[in-house]
Amino acid sequence: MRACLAGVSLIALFTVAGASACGIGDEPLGRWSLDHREYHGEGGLPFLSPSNDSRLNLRLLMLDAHPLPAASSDHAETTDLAAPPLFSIKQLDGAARSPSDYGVSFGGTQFADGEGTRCVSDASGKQAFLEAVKADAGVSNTERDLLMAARTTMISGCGADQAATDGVDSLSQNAGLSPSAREFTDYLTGAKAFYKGDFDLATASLGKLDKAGNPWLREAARYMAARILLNKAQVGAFAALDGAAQPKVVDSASLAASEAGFKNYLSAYPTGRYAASARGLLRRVYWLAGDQTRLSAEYGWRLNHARDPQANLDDNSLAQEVDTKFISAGAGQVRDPDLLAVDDLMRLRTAEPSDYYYWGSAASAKPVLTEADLAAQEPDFKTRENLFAFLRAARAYYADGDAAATLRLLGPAQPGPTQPGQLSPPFLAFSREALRGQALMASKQWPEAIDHWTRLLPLASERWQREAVELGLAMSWERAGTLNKVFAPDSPITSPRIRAILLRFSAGPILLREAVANSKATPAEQGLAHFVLLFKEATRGQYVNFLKDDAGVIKDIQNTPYMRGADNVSFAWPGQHEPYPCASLRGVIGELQSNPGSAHGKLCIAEFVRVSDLDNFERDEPTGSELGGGKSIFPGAAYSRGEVYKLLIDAPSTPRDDRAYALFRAINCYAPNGDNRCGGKDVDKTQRKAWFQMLKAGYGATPWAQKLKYYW
Amino acid sequence: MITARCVLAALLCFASVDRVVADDVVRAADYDAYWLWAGVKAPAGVDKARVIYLLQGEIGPAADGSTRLKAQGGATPGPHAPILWLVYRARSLDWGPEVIAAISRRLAAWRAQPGRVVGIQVDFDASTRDLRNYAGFLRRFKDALPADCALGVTGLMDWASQAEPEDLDQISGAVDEIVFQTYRGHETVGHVDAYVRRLGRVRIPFRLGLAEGAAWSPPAGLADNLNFKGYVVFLRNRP
Repeated sequence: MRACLAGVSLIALFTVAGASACGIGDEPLGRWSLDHREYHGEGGLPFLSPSNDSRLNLRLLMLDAHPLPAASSDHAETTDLAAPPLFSIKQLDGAARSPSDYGVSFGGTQFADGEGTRCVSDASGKQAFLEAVKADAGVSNTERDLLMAARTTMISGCGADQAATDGVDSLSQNAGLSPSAREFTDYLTGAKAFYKGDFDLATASLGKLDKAGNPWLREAARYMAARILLNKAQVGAFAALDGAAQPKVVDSASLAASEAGFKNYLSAYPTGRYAASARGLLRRVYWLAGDQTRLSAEYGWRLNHARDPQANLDDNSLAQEVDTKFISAGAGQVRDPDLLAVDDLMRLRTAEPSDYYYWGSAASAKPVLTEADLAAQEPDFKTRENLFAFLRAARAYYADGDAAATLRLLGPAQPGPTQPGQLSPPFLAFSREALRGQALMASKQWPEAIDHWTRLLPLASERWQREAVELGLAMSWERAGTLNKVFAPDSPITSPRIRAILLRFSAGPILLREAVANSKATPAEQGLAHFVLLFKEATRGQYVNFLKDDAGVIKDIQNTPYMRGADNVSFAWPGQHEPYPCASLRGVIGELQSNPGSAHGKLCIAEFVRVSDLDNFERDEPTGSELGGGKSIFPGAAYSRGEVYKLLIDAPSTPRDDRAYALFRAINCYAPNGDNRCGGKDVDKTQRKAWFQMLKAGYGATPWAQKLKYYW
Repeated sequence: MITARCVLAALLCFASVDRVVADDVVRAADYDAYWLWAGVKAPAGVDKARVIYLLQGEIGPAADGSTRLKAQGGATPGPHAPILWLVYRARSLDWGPEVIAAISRRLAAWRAQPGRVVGIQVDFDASTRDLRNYAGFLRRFKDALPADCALGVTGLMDWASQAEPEDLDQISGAVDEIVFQTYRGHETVGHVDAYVRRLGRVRIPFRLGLAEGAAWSPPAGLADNLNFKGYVVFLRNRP
């Protein structure tokens, strides 16, 4: 689990980029890495990983047992340019199945699905009753009308019951009914009592129908007998306000009788009308009884029998139920290999910082998985040796950080380099091969990693897999010093998000110029390359090149990942008179070309960055473990106005007016609330105060000193 | 508590975590209003809380692609001492009449029990750009609820800093209360003081949602905001 915060909290995850508003570069990139160790919320990886929410890992395992219908196109799903994470549990939610993908159908009612209320069956129960009455030849026309009217007006307490009386009670007192109509009447009395919560009357009424003449009545009554007992056993069991149901069943006799009743029904009607419901309620019996062993066995059965007539839940709901009722309930006696695997992966997570703050220790919910722990589970995996082999390798990788052992435990790639074949089962095998790629990268075996990812590409045919392989390959090329391969004409790296991150953070001038000229690239990518090239040339002293490369309009930049707002930036900046006079950007660059040390020129570049809202363009660079986090090929350091002002303030050669303006701007970096908006290393408030005093005392006659009333 | 603090400090160093000291974390016992989310076990004494925001279900795509309400949470309607808000997590706003009917019936079932139920809180990831649509949805939803049922929403703090003023007013006009979340994952967001300052733009009563265990110290000036009505703590499970 650790799903507990997923609901409310993750709202903020991808929308809150930083404190400053709407600059270019505010959209978070997400973590573009295959190596996640901390819990990752709703974002995640499309293969088994400790960082994945337990529901996500479970659902990946379920996909192997219950494959999705073929997707029409992989790439249609990965071109959401604004989506920061590589993968998200929402993409699984979005892969809707048709009802025919399951053994049973799921009907809509005016009640919540799941464990809301027993009223959920009121509408379908009514429908079935009416059909059975209509079909029964032993019921007279008059009786049929009375029975149907009675069921239609039945006061169940479920709906907006407006009538003071219904036809059920008068029918039950009618001595002249035929035997068939009498049986239907008994059923109605029982059903009404059930919905109203009079479980003893319900049992008494429906108990008479075990030998009823009508087959639907016989079947429905037998099913209902067990359901009534289950509802009776639950009375008062959920009295407390709680987020996780922690049932306290008092009436264990009814619970036991209910279990016997469902089993009785299922043995008489193994593919019956209510078989899926009965089997699902049996799972509820085990849960209410606190019987973790039988509960996990029942989950294990369902995980591998999605299409069985007795399978009663869609996969998404099942994963949620397993999470709340089993995994987070401190699954004790797990024997099912899928559930064990999910639990083991959680035990390979790195604790989150707040665990330290609050619980006073690195206590993630569970102790780290040791080799001995895993070895003790081996018998439970005897039918799933490949899953066990994956877990052993994953444990070596995540718990021990031992890439060599990981590779040894993974054994040879399957299918091997010269074998035809496919990944089987698709998601587990993909998880295994992704781990192999991670281990090769962690041990810096770049040629082997490149070779591995290249071979994996055509095999990664399931949804969501391709971009992960592209990430592995692109990152291996980046780290191997062969970034140009990503942008070669025959490059398999097609993800616009991956290509954009590398152009922005890694590419050097040569590659950027090639990308601008690459007629096979999308106009958006050409535009991005052009934008990055000009920005870095202007801010890193490549003035001659800037003047050469600054030709034509930048293309289609608004369609580039993570560049929202950049379409308002023009490198044909006309310059300004106020608050500090600057020529056009080309003029400023020309000034710097003839005098690279010009304080005025440097301040004007900073003005261009400031008014173009480009302060965040180089903020939030990828970390060393992420795509684009290797050493940038573009010479020079990331640009920040903050550092430019500091240098100009401190340099003795800076002309008076320019120093005054640098002071004014440096102080304003922290307006209006003390957050540094200009980038570079933050300075503390005493430094800001010293700048303020320097401006006021030394440059009091300048318009900027007169304008500035505060520091922040 | 010197000893405990030293141990914690040592652990913090060990983990290269240095953002807060132990005193600055959100402790449930210091507050009186809580979210009880699905899967979170209620701590002892939760019935002494003043207000509980109790998750009741999630509205989102069902197996057949239609939008359905799935029940969530661990309590059935019964007598309760704390004031309740019934919370619905929404993954989509494409609610059919069945969803609204199901919520209304659940509200009626709770209100049939002793104890006060203030209203419904909707928890939806509305981006700043979609605020206006969201406000329209909320107005229609409120019209479908009983007149004495309040409507609240969870809110993102960047609504206050990035939304157009008229969009923010639209949301404010559609609901009775907003609870802004100060955290992401289990941690309080960076620059939270700056966000909180911008909440001055919000013209209706609001609360701040805190994550149990996250770093928190009240930003200066918060208490002076007349619309600020207090905190709601998102409870976590104990390891």
